[in-house]
This record gives sequence, structure tokens and C-alpha cells, in this order.
Amino acid sequence: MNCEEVKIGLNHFFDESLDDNAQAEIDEHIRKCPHCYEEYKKLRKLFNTLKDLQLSIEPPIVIIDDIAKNLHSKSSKEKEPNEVESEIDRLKRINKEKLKQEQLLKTTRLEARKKLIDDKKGYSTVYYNTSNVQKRNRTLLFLFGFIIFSIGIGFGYFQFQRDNSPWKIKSEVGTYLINGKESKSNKLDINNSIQTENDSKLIINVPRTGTIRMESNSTVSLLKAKSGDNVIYFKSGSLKIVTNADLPDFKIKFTNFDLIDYGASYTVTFDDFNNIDLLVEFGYVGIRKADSEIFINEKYSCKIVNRKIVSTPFRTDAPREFIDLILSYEKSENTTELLDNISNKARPEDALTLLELLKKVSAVDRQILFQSISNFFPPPIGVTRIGIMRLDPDMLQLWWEDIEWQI
Amino acid sequence: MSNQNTNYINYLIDLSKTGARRSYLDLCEITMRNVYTLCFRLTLSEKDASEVTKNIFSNVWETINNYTPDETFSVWLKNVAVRDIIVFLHSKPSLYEFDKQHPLYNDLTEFAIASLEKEERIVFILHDVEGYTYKEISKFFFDKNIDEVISILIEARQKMIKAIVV
Repeated sequence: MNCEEVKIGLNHFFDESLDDNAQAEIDEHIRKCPHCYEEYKKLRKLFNTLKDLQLSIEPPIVIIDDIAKNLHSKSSKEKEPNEVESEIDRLKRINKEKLKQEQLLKTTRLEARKKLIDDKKGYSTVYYNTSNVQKRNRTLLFLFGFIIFSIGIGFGYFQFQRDNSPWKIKSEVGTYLINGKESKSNKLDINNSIQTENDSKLIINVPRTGTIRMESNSTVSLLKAKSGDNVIYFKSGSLKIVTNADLPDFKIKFTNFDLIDYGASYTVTFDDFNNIDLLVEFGYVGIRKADSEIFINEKYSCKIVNRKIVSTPFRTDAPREFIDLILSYEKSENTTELLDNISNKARPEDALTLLELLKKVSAVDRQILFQSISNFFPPPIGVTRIGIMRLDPDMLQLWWEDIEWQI
Repeated sequence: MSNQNTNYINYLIDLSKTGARRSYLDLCEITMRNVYTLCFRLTLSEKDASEVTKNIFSNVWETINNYTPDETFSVWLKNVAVRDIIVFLHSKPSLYEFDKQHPLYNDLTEFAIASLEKEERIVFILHDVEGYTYKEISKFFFDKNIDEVISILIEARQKMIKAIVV
């Protein structure tokens, strides 16, 4: 696939209307080609912006009166329901239904996006059999340019482009050690480790990706330094990472799991008991184990106990008492009593934490959490108690999206 | 579509089909926001959006017996609305200006959408905002096949990127 094809294909990439092979080809291409990666980022940013578009606009109140007048002139006979509600009940019910319609609108938009898979046929027509002459000419012109470019620069250029070591180091305070020796070099090479001391702090620049701020008494080793594949091993201390990459370009390796960066600003800190605190300020971060990945969203935090067990994520602004209860769940024996406490302390903003916790608890305890979450955010259309009890992934996702939107 | 109408919506639809005006007006009130939003984004004028919304609901009153619960009422209604709005837009001159008095005029994304050409705006809103497929959009247009819809959409996205991303 060449760049021009990818540029068109990227639109379908986002619409999820590509087959797996084409999707993989584009994915592979944008990891290697900085130009197409930029295009990808722009489109991604556009769609992210659209998510914030106002869901609906309040219509002028006179419309309903005008429709009423219009209907009156069209119909001679008025028929009404046998059971007549009081005006207050009617208005309450209408307002409730309006809210449901808003929720439905959001759900419908999400579902419709998934339905785009039906467009595959349309995609292949325009993609491989470009009837548009102008588009074909542009493609040919680009192909010609691309061949000249390839001959001149060659495959080595891409490899050179991808290799981004050494990383630059900028000391903020004090001195630091490289491979155990005090160093004044401002470069970090592959397979080297860097360590800050009691009174030192520094910033490492990860080319085309972002920065790592190392607090005092922190140790990091650089394992891989290529665009699209930057990996460090984090041994101790505290790091603040700020990246602007949208693809998983940056990874922090631990013994039992990896932290995958999806374009985020976050802090990773070892506590006194060798547990890891992860706090995501912006974007989201994945905690990837052998067969699963947990996503931690912005303004959420979690603890990775003994570098193995990932706690239920909680909001960073949640009350301390609530956070302690959530963290104590993993080691608690009387879970029913604990869940009652958690439910009592939870605020509506903590509903997603409860929903995550619901996936971990027994079927009996699930009832408690289902009720607590429902009190804050009733299950939307398409989500049932039975479905949640059997942890139906689609229903959990639907409810999650419904709550997230309202929070 | 996995969504179902709520019992109350079904109740209002059944009564509306028997000619109960008040029930139909309740149904209008519940569903109007979504229709009006679509009308406003496509016509860019509060006056035109109100006019088209009124026409849509007046027409639906006469055709509500055609509604069957194979799809949710809101989806059926939106499809009716899209067809009516496209007819309305075809009947108007091609120059549209965003209502400067409207609060959304100051929203960068809304303004960028409003600045698209008429057909680009329709395709962009229907596909990227409302979630219609290329195939569904080409059916709304009569004179556009799927390839043309895709080309228009790609062009519209490029303009949107220039306006709000770059």
C-alpha cells in the first residue's frame, strides 16, 4: 500500500469498514511512515473533537404550539386515552422520556458506527477501482514521486528514521548515574540504565513521543528506542510521563505486566511496599498482562499490588475513605459488608468504579453493586439486570458508555 | 438495531395512530430535540430549522400508521426527517449562512461544519455525526452513488481538519 492509498484508506480505517488484512496493512504503514502517521493523527483529532459536539439543541418552545394548531386544523375529531394522567405526572413522564431519548441518541450513534462494516463493498469499489479520473491521476503522480523518492533514499532511511537513540537527558537538579557511575553525559543509549540520587531530578526527551520526568531515587533502563517502539524498564522511584503519541508508541516494562501509553500524561510511582501507583491525568493508559489489558482513563488512578494484582480503578478526586475501601477489597474476607460500605460511601461520580468492581465480585455481591449503580444511573435501554448479572460484555460496555457520558 | 422503544413511547404511538392529538403532541415533545438539532445543523438557521421541524411533525402525523416497530421510533422519525430536510435544502438557493445570533455560532467545530459546502455538510453530518452508513446516505440522495458519497465525505473531512486541527 502506498501513501496515497493509505491516505484514502485511513478514512475507512476510522470507519472500521476495512477487512482485517487492509486494516493491518494500514496499521503497519502508519507506524513506518511519519507523513501518513501525521495524517492519521489529524483524523483522529478530528473525531475526538466531534465526540465533544453538543448532542442536541433545545428547540424554540413555540414549535410545539404551532404543530398543535396545525393538527387542530387537520383533524376534526379528538380522541384521547381512557386513563388521563394529572398534568404534573404527564410533564414528569415527558421529561423522563426526553432524557431517555438523549441517551438513545448517543447509543444509536455508537451502534451505527459499528454498523459501518456493511460498507466494505463500497469501500473496495472506490479503493481499488478508482473511477474518478482526477483521483487516478493524482495516484499515478504520487506513485512516480514515491518511486523516485524510494530509489534516492532507500530502505535504510526508514530504519534511520525509526532509530531515535540516544535520548537526550536534561538535569533539573543534582547529578545522576549512568550504569552506576556518575555521568555528565546528556545522552542515554540503548541498554544503559540511569539513576537519580536523593537530591536530583531530570527530564528525558523521547524523540517524537514525549518526555519522562524522573524524580529523585528513581532507576530506569532503556530497552528499545525506535519510533513506534520505545520501551523502558522501570525499577524504582517515581516517573511522570507526558506523551503526545496517539498510537501505542511507548511502553514501560515491569516483571509481570507492561504499561502501554496511548497518548497520555501520567505518573507511575513505587510506594514503600513495592506496590505501584498509577495516576492518569490526561488520555489513557493500558495495563497489559499476558492475556488481557485493562484501560485506565484520565482522572482515574489504580494500585498494582505486589507488581501483580491490579486494583479497581478509582477517580483521583474520590474521598480517601472510599479509595481505602476499594483498595481493601482484594484482601477482604467479608466482602458483603465491605461492599455495603463501599456503596454507602460512593458518589454518583464513582459509578464507573463500582461498575469495574462489579466484574470482580461474586454473583451475590453483584446484586448489591447493581442496585447501587442503578440508584445513580438507571441501566439504559438494552441493559438488563440479568445481563449484568451474567457479565454480558456488550451490556457492561453500553452501561459504561452511558455513565461516562453523564459524568 | 437492538434498541427498543420504551413502553411509554409505544403507548403514545398506539394512541397517535388512533387519532389522539394530545398523545401525538407528547410524542413530538419527547422526540423533537433530536429532529430539531438535525434540522438546525443542516439549515444553519433557527427560522428554517423551526419551519422544517414543524413540517416534519405535521407530515408524520399523517403517516404515523406506516410506522412499524421493526426499528425504534426515533430511528424511523430521523429517517423521515433526513428525507424532508434534503428536499427542503434542494429547494433553497445554495448559499447558506450560519445564524450569527445563535450561541453555537461561537463553537469552533459547529462553525467549521457550517462552513462546509451544502452537500459536504449533509454527508459529513449524516455520516460522522449521526452515524449513517455510506449506503444509507446514498439512498437519501437519489443522485449520488456510494463512491460519490465517500469522495464528498473525504473532501469534507479534509476541510474540517484544516479548520479545526491544523
